[in-house]
Amino acid sequence: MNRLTLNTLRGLGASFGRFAAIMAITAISCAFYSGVKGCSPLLKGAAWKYFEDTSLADVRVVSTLGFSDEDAAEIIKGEPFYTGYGCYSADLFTEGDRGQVTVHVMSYSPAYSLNTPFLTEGRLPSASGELLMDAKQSEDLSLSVGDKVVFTAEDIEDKLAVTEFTVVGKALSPLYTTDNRGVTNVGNGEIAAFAYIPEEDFSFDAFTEIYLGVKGGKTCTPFGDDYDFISQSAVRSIETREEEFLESRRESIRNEALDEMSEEVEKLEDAQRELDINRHKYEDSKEELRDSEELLKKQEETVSVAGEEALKTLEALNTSYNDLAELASTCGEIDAWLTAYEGVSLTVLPQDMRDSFTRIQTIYDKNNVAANIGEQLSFYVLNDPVTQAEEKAAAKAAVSAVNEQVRSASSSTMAQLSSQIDAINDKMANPGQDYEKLVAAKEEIAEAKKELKKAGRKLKEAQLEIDEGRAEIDKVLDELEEEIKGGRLYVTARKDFNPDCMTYGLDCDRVDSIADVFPVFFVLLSALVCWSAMTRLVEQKRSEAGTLKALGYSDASVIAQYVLYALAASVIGSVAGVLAGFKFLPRIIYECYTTMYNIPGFTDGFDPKLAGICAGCAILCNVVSVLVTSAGELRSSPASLIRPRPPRSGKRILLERIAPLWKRTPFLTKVSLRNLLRYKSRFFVSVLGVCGCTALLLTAFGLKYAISGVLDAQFKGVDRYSGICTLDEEISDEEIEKVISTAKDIPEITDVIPAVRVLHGIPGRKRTVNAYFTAAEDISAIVALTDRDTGKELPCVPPENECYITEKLSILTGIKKGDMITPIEGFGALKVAGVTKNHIEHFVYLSPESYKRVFGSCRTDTLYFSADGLPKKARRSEITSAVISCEGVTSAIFMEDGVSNFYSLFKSLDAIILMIILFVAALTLVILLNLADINISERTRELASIKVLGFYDKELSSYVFRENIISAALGIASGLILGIFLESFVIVTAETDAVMFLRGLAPWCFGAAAAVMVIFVLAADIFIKIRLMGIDMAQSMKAVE
Amino acid sequence: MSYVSLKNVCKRYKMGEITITAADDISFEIEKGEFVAITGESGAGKTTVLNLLGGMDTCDDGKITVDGRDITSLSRKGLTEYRRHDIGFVFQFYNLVPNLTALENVELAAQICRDSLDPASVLEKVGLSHRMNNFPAQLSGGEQQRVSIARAIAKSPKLLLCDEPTGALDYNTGKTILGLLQDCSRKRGMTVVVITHNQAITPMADRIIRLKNSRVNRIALNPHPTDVNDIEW
Ligand SMILES: Nc1ncnc2c1ncn2[C@@H]1O[C@H](COP(=O)(O)OP(=O)(O)O)[C@@H](O)[C@H]1O
Ligand SMILES: [Mg+2]
Repeated sequence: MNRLTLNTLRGLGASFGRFAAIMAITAISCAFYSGVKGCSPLLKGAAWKYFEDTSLADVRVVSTLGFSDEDAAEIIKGEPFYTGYGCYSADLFTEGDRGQVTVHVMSYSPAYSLNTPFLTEGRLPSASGELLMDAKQSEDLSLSVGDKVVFTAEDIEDKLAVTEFTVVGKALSPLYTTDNRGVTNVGNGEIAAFAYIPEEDFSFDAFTEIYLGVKGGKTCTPFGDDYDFISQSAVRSIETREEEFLESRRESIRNEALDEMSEEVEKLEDAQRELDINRHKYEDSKEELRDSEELLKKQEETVSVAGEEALKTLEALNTSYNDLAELASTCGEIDAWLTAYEGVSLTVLPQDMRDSFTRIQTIYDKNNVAANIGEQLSFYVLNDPVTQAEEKAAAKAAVSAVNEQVRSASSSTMAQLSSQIDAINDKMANPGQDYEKLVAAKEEIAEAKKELKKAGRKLKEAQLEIDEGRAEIDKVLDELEEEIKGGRLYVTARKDFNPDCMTYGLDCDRVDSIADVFPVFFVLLSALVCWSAMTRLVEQKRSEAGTLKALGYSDASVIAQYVLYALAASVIGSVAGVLAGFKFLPRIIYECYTTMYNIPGFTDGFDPKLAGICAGCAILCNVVSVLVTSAGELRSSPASLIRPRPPRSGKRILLERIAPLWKRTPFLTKVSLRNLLRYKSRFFVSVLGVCGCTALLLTAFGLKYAISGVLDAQFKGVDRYSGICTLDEEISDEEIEKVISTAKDIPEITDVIPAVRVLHGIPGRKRTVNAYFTAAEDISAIVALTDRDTGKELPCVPPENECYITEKLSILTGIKKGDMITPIEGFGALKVAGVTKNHIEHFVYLSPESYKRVFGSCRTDTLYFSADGLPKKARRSEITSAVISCEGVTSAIFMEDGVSNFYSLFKSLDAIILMIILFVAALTLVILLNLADINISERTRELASIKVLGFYDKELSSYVFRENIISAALGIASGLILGIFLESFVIVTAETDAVMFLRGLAPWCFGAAAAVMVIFVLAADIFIKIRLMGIDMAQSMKAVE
Repeated sequence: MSYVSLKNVCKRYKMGEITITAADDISFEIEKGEFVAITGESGAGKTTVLNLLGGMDTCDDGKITVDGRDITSLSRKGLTEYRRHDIGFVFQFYNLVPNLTALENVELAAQICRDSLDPASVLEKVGLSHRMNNFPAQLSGGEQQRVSIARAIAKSPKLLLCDEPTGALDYNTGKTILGLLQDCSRKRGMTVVVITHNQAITPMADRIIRLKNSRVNRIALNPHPTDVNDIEW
């Protein structure tokens, strides 16, 4: 072996500490850089592979009308899709460990070309009644393979054909990227888990959703702009045909409904037909009846005319008969008078007699009896019978003659009349055959009429029934029409139906952006340390180099020695570092991420390019520092190299010129101060190293503070509400009132604030940003309106036509206080009256009046509710269930439950930060130890002689340590300052648009960074002590090194 | 009992397979106030013996007593204390702290022991009152060695141990230094042990110990030591 190489190798052993330090520093920085930088592509790659393996859909279409097989086929075969499937899903209840929970149940069929569940345990469901359970179900559920599950729901039979299932396996679903299972508008609003059951166990008559694969969607990374473009244009391709799809669906629904009702319609029609026939018959018989009735009437008429005539005759006869009878009766009267007044003589005729005579005369006159019977009789009555017997008798005879005449005449006529009357009466009493017939016909007709009436009534009833049936069918159709009229298609790209998938990409980017800043600093620091170590090496080997040169070796071969040394250290270090970095860091970060992300199947990866760059830089950095230092040193002549280098002279320092101060400085402190300045470069390197490490630590702690503090700052410092309830678009004012009163009746809920919360775009100076416009009567009841600049509370609602905007919105858009904003969808401008503190999402706060003026209408769509303290989990779930059960409520959730995902997200970042802290710590330790090592080795002689003088170990180490403390103190102080800037830079890089991490640093960050550094400085002190104890006085005294 | 006594002192260095015996069964005694010269060829074990005597190293065998105290049984801390209060060391290469002025170098030693002398006056005695505020790099080799001696004397040690103090100096300067050391013994009654491979110096010593191959070769007492100024070499 070349003796020179041998020398180098022996040198490695001799100064193994330094060799190890260079190796370690190179390894740590290489590991960190390659690991963190290589992490994001690996993480994204794992997700990509998982999405690809499980064929995660690119587009989802949900229709309120559902999809028939044909509809689905029509959509799937459209451009730009290469595959797709229609399936069912429903949110169903089951009994969890602590009461009812909601499970999102989806259909599964091996025929589905997308969204294959990722089996973690058991097997896929193959027969009816089998169920594949969520592998990461919520803590309220604890279903394992073999368990039975029973689902319930409103109208369960419309949804499921089977309700009892057996868990046959567990799986992850690519549709869920995180543990977040989403929200629903049934139950307490939270979904505890998903589950897959065989397709045939659903009883829906139409698919509820369609998943689609977009051509080209698999060929580009799912987190890039290309993919976004492809999927968005696919979404649009369906959206533009929305009405077409909806109309065809409507048509098929209509037809289906008609098909279903066809039997009924047929029946109705039959009935109608029969009814119509019957009605005809009825009409006919009615006609007939009317004819016969008419005939009857005619006959009746003739009969009655004859009768009348007979009657008249009879009457006349009767009258004549009566007259005659009266006449005849006068005969008797007259006879009586004749008898009575035989012997009587009267002078005056009594009045009543006169009346009777007049009456009789009238009767006689009327009957044409030619006799003055009254005169005759009065003569007979008044004449004295004795004196005028004759005359009297004559009168009597005349009267009797008349009487006789009348009597005989009337009696014969009377007899005649009487027989005539009798004949008529006889006839009338016996109407004969015709009449009887007539009566019978009449009766018959009456009967027929009655029957006809009954039939008519029946017909009417039947018609009514048919009409009712018809109306019912019409009503059903109308209702259906009403229902399908409002149908909508919801077409969403992956980033919308699986938003956590995008969060994953953003999280990876965040790791990447952190990786951009930290490792650069890392590499700089380690370069610094390598530089100082190599300089020291060259200096130490000075006389050896001189000797070699004196022996005739060339400069190049001497330098090659050092280069070999540096190469050995840096190659071993960087290769080990890069390998370890790629092997462990991405996996560690992945493990942190899997606690919340459901992305299995991470595989280690190695990026040769990144590794090459990383190792190359590290090696180059070492070699260059060796070349530069050794080239400078070797320029001197061999003679001067061989001679011991004159010890560097001490110098008075500036402080000494301030005599009073210098005099008071303890002696050894003076020495330390001078030493610091004597070894300026080492001092500089120490300060810089400590400064850099402190800055990195402070940045890491600052990141932790800024990120983990965000949620508390938002939910405790900004938001004043405990939960949020969103309302349906079609909710009525009364329903809103009802929801509010329902909520207010819940004892824990202290306040309910109706508000408008709508997303609108705001064009800014720099770019357009979407922000939630929140309008309420008292905004300060919802959030704390803290002015960003003054820290004071702003008025609870902005004045008319003015608004407040949140801080990050102001930063992103460049809009400041006093500027005007013009929302894209609005019809007016708003003046910014203030910028408020806020950390998550962007908001514009304004009064409902201003909102109405700008946007035309102001519809309450959100209720913020605040609760007294935070109710327990079970109680929260009860409360939200109560609110959701109100008409018109789409969701209700306690922020506590809604943000739990956020929490785990931030926790994973925490883990990464912890890793950074550990790495920085390791780097710091190595740097400090290396510096301490250089410090001691450079001054072994000096330290040995002080040891010989009888300095105690403690005194000796404090002699060295004092310098370290001074440089560390300076380094820490400057590092804390530098860290403020570094942190503010990193924070902005690591931030996403929607989040504003806390700005500035908490005192504990400074404390923690300084404390860690102090601990490390102390650790370095222990190392120094050990090294000092090891200094062999006898050896070091021997010769000048 | 003598002021300083070494009895059967052994020191071995183990270097892998081989063991080098640097001090092999060394025994001698020194009386208080003597000026002792240790001579021998290079590698004879002189420095080894002086280091053992000065508490800079521990012996593997034997016993060393100084002023009635057994220093072989001392702990690490005991040894430090011993060096601190009882020993003054002068090195071949001066070993001044480069960052301290002449005075400060003396003060560095003086401030850690009990009955130290005034650094300034000690420097004056070694003839450096005018260079007190100079840094070592600004002093010549002889001056540096004088500072080194002053630093040792200032502690008023029981034993002043000097390892080839003139080795790196020219003739005249060497003489001055030796004179200074002789004065310490003569005028201050300090016990001074000087290592030298220069046989010419031996006449000025009260006791000459000659080492050879790590063993004591010869111990000679000189009842009439000559003054350094009378010696030529
Ligand atoms: N630390 C050590 N390791 C190994 N051998 C040593 C060591 N110190 C001295 N020696 C050996 O001990 C012997 C005596 O050395 P030393 O006392 O320095 O001689 P001198 O001072 O008389 O020239 C030498 O042979 C030397 O090689
Ligand atoms: Mg020697």
